Amino acid sequence: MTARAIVAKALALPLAAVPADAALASFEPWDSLGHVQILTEVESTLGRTLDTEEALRIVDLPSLQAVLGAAS
Amino acid sequence: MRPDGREIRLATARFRLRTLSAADVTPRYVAWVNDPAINRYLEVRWQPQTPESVGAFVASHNNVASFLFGIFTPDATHIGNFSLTTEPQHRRGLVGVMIGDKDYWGAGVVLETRAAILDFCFDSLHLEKVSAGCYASNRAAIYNFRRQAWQLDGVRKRHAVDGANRIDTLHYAMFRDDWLARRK
Repeated sequence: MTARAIVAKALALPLAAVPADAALASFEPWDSLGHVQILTEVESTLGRTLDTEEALRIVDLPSLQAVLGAAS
Repeated sequence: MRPDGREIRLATARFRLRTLSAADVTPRYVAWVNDPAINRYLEVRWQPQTPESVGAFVASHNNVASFLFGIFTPDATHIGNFSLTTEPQHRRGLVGVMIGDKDYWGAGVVLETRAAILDFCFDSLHLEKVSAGCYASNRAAIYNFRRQAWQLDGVRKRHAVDGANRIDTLHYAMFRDDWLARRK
């Protein structure tokens, strides 16, 4: 699953509603509760708990994709 | 103006903050600190809290070097608190927050009201550094620190208990010059 698809699923949005530059600081639905949901969705996709460093790294789609890539 | 022990009032676009008093120790407030969903990341959770223990906590703030602010809606509904303890010799402070009213979770309350607390720290108390911490499992708090551009100031590995897990604690800092630059 791509980072964008994970964000869309976590935030219950259609894929098209998640812009390519979606980020914690600029994409309104990515609020504090959204961030919790996104990290939970990443953990569900990976089948394990994120460690602190991974969780801290995720701030936008590229960083989320990098965590997914490193884990696969 | 430097605090002299009297009540302090701050305001944001949506909320009012003021010094808490004994009259604010309501059953609703006491219920917050006993609610596992609210106190999960608070150290008060280790002991059952009573009106007396909460009242003693409120009274322990002298409003000169330690402060306890309530967060209120414009209609005076109490929805949460900020604590602030300072060490004036080091010109630093430590801030903590609890949003007790779950209807306000995810509503940007912490970002908005902590900005007023930071203004108070740097403008009125003339602090140089404000610190805050959270459990690594408290991802909503981490979001708020990132969003408000706090610097990660340290990670203490496996430092706390969260349910069945030992977890890291994260320590964040906001420095005076960074906040003033950000505020411009």
